[in-house]
Amino acid sequence: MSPLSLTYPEERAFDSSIPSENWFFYWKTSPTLWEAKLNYFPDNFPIFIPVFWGLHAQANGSYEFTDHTPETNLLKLSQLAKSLNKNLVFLVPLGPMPFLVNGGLPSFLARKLAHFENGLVMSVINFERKINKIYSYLERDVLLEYQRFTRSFGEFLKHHELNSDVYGFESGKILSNGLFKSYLEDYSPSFVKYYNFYKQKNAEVKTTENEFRNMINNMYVATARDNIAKNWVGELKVSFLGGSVEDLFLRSEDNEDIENYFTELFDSYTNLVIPSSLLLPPSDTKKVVDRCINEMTNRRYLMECMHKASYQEENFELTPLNFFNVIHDNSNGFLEQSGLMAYLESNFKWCYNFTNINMLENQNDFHERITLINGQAIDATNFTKLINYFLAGNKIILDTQYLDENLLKKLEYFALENNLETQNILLHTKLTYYKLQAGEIILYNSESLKAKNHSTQNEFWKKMINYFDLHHLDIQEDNKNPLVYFWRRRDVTNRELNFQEIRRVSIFNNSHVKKSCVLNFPDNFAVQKILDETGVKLQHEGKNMKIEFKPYAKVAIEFGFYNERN
Amino acid sequence: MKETNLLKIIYSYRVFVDQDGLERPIFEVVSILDHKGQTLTEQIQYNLLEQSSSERRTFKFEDIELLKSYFIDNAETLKVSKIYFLNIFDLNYALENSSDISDLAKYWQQYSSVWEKQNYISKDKFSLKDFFSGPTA
Repeated sequence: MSPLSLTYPEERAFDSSIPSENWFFYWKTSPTLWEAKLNYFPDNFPIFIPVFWGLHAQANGSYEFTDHTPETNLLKLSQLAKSLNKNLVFLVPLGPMPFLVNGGLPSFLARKLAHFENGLVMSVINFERKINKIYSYLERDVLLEYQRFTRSFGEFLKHHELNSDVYGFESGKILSNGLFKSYLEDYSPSFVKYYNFYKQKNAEVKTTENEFRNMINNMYVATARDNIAKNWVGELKVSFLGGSVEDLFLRSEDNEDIENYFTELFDSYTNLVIPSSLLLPPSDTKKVVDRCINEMTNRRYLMECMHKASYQEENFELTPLNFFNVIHDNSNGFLEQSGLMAYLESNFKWCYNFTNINMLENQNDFHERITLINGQAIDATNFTKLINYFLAGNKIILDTQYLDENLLKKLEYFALENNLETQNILLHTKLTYYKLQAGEIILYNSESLKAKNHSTQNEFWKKMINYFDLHHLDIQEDNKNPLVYFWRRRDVTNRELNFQEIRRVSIFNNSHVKKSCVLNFPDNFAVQKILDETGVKLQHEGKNMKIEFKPYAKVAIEFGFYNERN
Repeated sequence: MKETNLLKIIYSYRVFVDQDGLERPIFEVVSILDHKGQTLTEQIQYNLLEQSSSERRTFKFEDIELLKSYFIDNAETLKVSKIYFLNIFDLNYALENSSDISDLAKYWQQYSSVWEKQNYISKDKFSLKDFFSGPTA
């Protein structure tokens, strides 16, 4: 078995204690079988162990993690893992775990059902096709009990000198707009009542409903971090395919829409979260999805999500190709109303990251990466971070519509004081361009774009993005009959020094009809390998490649890329 | 626009106080599902409406019968021959009391109303099979 494999290359019967990827549900099997089950997992690869809060809660109000009850004996599980050289990673909930009854809450706390944003009771269909109702974590009593639970767990780890990493586990789903949303976000009437009560008590502080949600979220993080300080590494986000409200409708008809799962899967990578098929029932669809997760969620990606440094050799593993960091607070329609999302989806599908300003790091990629920011995401505290990012030579496009006026003035003073190269351009809206060495920043106001039609918006974004001379290969396909494709990149090895990076596109036809596409690659792309050729016919002439796909066919093409300017 | 001959409309109900201090009801469409249970995106929902004869741009109605008749009147333009209407509160009740998807199907049957081309069938006279398997034609 490959040491980088997350799932199992060999076919094996579905096991509800190892329902997907590298997850182990210790409560789903007898403790006498734990040793045999742990042996399924590759050595030194993280095995995710969700800590089932409700299971460890005892009738007397205490928490049990040792040998008083065999099925809750995490001490035994840890000792077994150590003797087998397995790497357990404990996941402590920072909100509902959708694959568990009551979202994982002890039954005495499962009192108020959470709601999705559209008012529907928050529920998901699990791999047994049962309906899991999710109860709200945004309750005072739940948070108070969470204190006791995490304190007990932290003391247990400390007392037994267990060194396993612990992550705060944020479960969520991918929405139809491609964004990750946590199950912690509750829109139930009882939450609204709780918020109104808070507002009354704190009339002098103007806190919006979303800010109040974030505040409670931060309290969970701080509580877990403080109580499990010794083993705490950070937060880990996981998106559950099949777990959105749209999936609830679809799956309640017993439909499994593989295209939909692929979309959620690739959207997970753009949100820098780990995708999981835990909610999907064992089926051919799940096998296909798992194979894809196995290939794409390699150790390098996993380490990035787990805030761990990669080994040097992992730089030769493929990672999603990103041209854009998108920093937004989408409450004001930043992505949709200006036509930005439509442009990115048509021209750079899944080649962008949704992130936040505090996650920005200097990029070492050989291709340019542009940071697109909604001004609303910038406040006085992270403004300096943005300036430093610009000074480090990065490219930024900033929408000033919701940017605080004082910060805009501060930015203008900064440009004057530092004698930045400045230009003002009119392109459907006024653009201000600042440059300092390699750093470039373009300011625009999306207000006037909102009223424009789709083609004008598209033209605007095309001109803006073309300025940066991004090198991306165009795939021409029938828009009414699109294929699914996903780009990744890796560093070059010693034998590939003619290139600056290696890019691979994996193209899938997930439908029962034939499809085709044409790849026109410019001079600085050279075909290196054709892999995974299943059910496709390729015609390669010069810089063109026509590919015909049979139903459910796939192919991956690897290119060496070099930038002529360098 | 997605070709379908069946829609399922999920709506909610709330009361708001208008400028004169009067309480007014609002019936609002929460989700429009196609025959596979696929949620039509907001854009597609609007496209459906743009192609209809109506000038209406929102899915808010003062009366449930207005909501239903709006979609029924536009059924031909929307290329549907069957429309199911479900109240979100009944759907929530169904979700709260269902342990699996077959339970859910039984509850939904109890609370849905269905319109079929030239017929309006009251809530207890349609087949469960129809509701969950979609059209056979």
